[in-house]
Amino acid sequence: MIPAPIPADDERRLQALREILILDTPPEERFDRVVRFAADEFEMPIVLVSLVDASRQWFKARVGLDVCETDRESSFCGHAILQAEILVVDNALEDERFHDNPLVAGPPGIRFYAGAPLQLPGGAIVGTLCMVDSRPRTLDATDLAIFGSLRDLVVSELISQEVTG
Amino acid sequence: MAVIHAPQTLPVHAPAAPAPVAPPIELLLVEPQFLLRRTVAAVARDMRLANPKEVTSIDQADTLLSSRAFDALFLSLDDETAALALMGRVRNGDTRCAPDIPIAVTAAACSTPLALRLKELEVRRLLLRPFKVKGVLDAIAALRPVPVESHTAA
Repeated sequence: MIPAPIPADDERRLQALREILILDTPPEERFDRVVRFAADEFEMPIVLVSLVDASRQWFKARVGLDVCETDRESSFCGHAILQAEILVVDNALEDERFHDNPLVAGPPGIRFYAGAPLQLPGGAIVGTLCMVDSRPRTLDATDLAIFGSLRDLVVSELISQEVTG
Repeated sequence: MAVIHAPQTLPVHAPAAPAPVAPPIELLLVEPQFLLRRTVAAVARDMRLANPKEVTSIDQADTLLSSRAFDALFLSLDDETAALALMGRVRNGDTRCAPDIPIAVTAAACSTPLALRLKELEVRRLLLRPFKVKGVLDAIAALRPVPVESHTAA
């Protein structure tokens, strides 16, 4: 497993995350409905709004997962926030970054992962809208466009939260 | 996704065009559900299928159709009576649109009387819930004019 790398600008990224005042807040329907919608649209067992904190990823909204956070080091989202484009892992067993990841080798037995980075207007990528399946999957261009559009709605809500405090 | 193709006298649907070359159509999208409407509109715009104008109710659509024309209409039948009346006005030429613009609709269910009425109104496609965004995009693609090449290829 390749642990989730820490980007050079992580302090600035974490500052932006903390400024939106969302970590450890209760579930909210405006985020919950997006993950439910994505789970239905893509028939995905797990969909999350994941925010990548200093040493953990914390889930603002979740479908199909009981825990509210996992460690950052073994997180797929920790890799996804390194780029502005959507990260798609068709089969984690065939990816050197993840093949022996504990989330692949053990529960929930991740095989497929797609993470759309949540990039704030200032440029900081604070987390992802992500989808996980226990079987290998692929996304076509239309799927990616739909997924990206749902991600944009999550970002809009994060910004709205930022403005209204 | 449950898709019911319109009755047999209607044109055969073209498959969704992954890389359309025709310019996007001006589409009036009437859908009360925020996430569905916003996602469909954004992706249709990104894929250059359509320039959707989003409204949430038949009343809003009615107002808009009295002031400007559209190339196609895609509407929810949640307010079935009002939606059927609106489509009737379009077909009668009582709006700014051409009376023969392509129309697609979504509905929770379809009775025989409704199917017959939709046939009378020359509705090109009906999507029954539950459907997916992808299905809606396919339906929007089917509202686009058939490329000239497909007429001359034979």
